[in-house]
Amino acid sequence: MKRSLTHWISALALVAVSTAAIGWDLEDIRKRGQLLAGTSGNVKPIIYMNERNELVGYDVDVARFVEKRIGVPIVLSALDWKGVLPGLQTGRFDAVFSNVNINPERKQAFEFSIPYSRAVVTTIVRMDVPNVNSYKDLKGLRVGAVAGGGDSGIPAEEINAKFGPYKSYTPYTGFAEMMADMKIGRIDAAIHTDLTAAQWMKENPGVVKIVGEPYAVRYVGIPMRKGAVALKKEVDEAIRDMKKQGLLDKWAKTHFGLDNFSAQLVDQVP
Amino acid sequence: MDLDFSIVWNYVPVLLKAAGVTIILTVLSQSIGTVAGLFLALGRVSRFKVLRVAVWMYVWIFRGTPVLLHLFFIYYAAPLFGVTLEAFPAAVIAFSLSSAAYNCEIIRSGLQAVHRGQVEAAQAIGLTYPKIIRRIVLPQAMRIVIPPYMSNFITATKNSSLASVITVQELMLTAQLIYNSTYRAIEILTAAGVIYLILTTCLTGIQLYLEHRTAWELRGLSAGKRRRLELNAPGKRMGDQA
Repeated sequence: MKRSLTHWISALALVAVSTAAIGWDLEDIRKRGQLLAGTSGNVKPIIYMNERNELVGYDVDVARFVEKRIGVPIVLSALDWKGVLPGLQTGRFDAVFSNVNINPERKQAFEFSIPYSRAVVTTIVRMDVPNVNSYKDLKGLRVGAVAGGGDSGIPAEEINAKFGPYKSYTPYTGFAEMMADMKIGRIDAAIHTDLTAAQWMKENPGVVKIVGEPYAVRYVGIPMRKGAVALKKEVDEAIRDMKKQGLLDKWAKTHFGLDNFSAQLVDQVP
Repeated sequence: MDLDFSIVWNYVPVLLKAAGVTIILTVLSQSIGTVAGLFLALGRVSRFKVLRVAVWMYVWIFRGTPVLLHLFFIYYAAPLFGVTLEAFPAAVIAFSLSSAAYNCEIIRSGLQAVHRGQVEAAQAIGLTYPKIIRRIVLPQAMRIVIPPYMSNFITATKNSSLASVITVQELMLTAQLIYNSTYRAIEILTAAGVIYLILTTCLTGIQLYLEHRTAWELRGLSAGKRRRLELNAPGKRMGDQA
């Protein structure tokens, strides 16, 4: 049943791409007076909910700057990740702020801004698991990742094919769910971005460690509706402004504790 | 594993607000689904074949496909055909559609359990169709329908969490967002579980009340006597007490 549902949804998305999304651009957004944006809102410290039920984090700071630049308020709605990209494809949202990794398949479906962040694909291992010094050592272990994530599930399956097989592979709906399972001891290792891992380790010391060199570095952009070229241009300019004014570095320092963040980014869609 | 339930207190207002969304969503869609389900059930037992087939098809489709799919279609696909609804009304419509299908079948079972002879008798004394339904059939059907109807209501309360795929920030999505920022899944989910349990307990209370209200034959008896009758002589009617 799950498969047939996915099938329907992708069929739906195809119809959407071929009809509704075309021709919708910045002008229409300005006319509406709102830029509608979706997010999964579950990737601390990138975008997450605070105690007052507000979305906060690095991505939110970026969104607030873009908002000023295009002159229309951005309305951020949190929803289950399952609905985020289909919502963008069918035109429910104009953009997504959700730490979305840029990859070739997604580039075909969306307009991507230039990178405003990056995701280092890291190997997270439970402290009591011996002899794991890199993603190459995960053979025979129980490994988890967030399903469908460009910096998690997708590389985890690549690693399984290249350096596996794992003893078992578990796809999760979210990072917190996966780490809860790690803490209990149901999985030995996980693949996810360094930023969420570091945040989790700060709040849960002594459970896991990050090992070895990164498997890959993925660039993170803002996906927008296909054909929204004028919007993309403005957003790109906004990102360049944020870099120039040192804002990306400043926010990376507050949210991630990292220095010289923008030096890790490139000035074009990879 | 260390548990720290004190974290929950910080999020009580947020959780309660989300519970409010869950309540309004469920009550609204169940109300619409009940009225629609009643008319569908009447259509399902009607004399007209077209009506029976049409209702059968409706139930076949909306009971036979996942609500998640209805949500996706109404929220994401309908705009392609020029119907753009806000997330909350879209969720109300999706849940009403499926609730109507389930309630149709539940109410039909009640309608059909009323003996045909009663309808014939009512016709014989010259009652009109609406009157027969309202005065004779429905009151008797109701007591049969209450337990499955309320079960369905309770299931719907919990299923409302599916609206999280279309940006409705109901209880379950809120709980997930909270534990994704606090990493306190067990504590927050326990709190959400308690809230769901309170909601469904209220529904169970309503069910109990309705069951008593519709136990016509036991009216006017003392609590003790009612209990003895219910326990010892199920099926016995007033006047039969020996």
